[in-house]
Amino acid sequence: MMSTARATAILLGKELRLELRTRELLGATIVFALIVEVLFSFAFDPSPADARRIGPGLLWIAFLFAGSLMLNPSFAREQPNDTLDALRLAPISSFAILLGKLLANLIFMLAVEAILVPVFSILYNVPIAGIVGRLALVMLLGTLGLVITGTVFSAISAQARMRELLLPLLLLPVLAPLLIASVEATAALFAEEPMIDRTWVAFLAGFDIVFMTAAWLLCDYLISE
Amino acid sequence: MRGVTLEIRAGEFVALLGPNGAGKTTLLRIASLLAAPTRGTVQFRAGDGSALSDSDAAKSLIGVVGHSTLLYDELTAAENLEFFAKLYGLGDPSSRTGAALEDCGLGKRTNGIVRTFSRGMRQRLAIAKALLNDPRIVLLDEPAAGLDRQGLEWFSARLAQLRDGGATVMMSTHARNESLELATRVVALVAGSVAEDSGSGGDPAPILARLRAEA
Repeated sequence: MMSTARATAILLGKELRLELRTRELLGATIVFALIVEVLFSFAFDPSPADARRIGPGLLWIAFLFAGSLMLNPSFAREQPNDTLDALRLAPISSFAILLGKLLANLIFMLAVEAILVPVFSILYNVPIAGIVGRLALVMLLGTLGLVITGTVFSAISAQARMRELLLPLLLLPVLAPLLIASVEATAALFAEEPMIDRTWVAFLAGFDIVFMTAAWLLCDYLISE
Repeated sequence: MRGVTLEIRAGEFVALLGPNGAGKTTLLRIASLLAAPTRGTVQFRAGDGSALSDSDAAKSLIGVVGHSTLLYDELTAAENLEFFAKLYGLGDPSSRTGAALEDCGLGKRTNGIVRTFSRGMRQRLAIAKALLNDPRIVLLDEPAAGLDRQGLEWFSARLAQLRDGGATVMMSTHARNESLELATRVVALVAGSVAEDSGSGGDPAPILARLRAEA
């Protein structure tokens, strides 16, 4: 049997190649998330003080909306020719199939965020030049949690008729703790004196570990028919 | 399926026949380990008779042609085959892919996006994909669907090669399929049960003749 790492790398390569060719997920998600950011900006018209206070929440809600849009087709796009069956027929572990999707989704989400954050900084007048490294850490941990849970729920909802509706319904309540932690950790970085809030960062890391372990334990059920 | 017990010996070419809804596809999905039976088991045995306990070891021996093509429409023919060759851990995926595409008559469409292929070309590619790992067990669900005369001739030749090479073949099809001449055993399913079975070493011709007359 092929190692999980090798199989994951092959599957990740396929996911990236498919997305680069079709640009279905990235294009639509970037445009959607930018519209959300701009609409929030118009709706709240925040002062610099408001932006520091509500900005982290708006930013993470935009990430969440972008995630629920992007993660929906993750497994659903395997359905037209039953290609998930083709993957399940191969002598590879179910976890490799899940991990390949998960890593591809993580790369796509981080790419979207790399565009959204500078736009947010300009629209809301929140300087991020001095906190790029620490903000990247918080975004990585928060996004990883979003992508792990989103990929798992995408696998669960892929067979459902109303999957476009089902995924956000399943995903958003589960992500409430992650949203709170990500917003709090980001707010600490947007403060007058930016700092890493170790409590919330540790919470994010813990969330990621717990849900990644659950995904590993449940992957056979998630990938099976 | 209801109470289906089949022991298929290595090298047998089993034709699964039956009306729509008889359970042919379900049986093939269970045999390919894609679906788990609610009751009962599927066992694969090695040459010495010992059961293969590792499903991944069994999977590496199986090739499947299903109702769908099991191919990525947005990848090229070569990218599809190379991806699966890598996933099966096959040596030299690139040259293996090239040889498979030449064999199935798509050598000139190597870099064609599968979405742009005709139904018959996709089916050829699906068959080439299923045979990429030189499977010892080949499970075929209506494999001739969409193939033109040339495609059918190529497919019949490949089936004969598989049979002569000692592969075990299980193929669901309709009674008038010309490839049935290769079958060494006929199993007729009705409403999820085995209605008739010519058995290992038995003569499939009488059952086949009757089913053809009824079709």
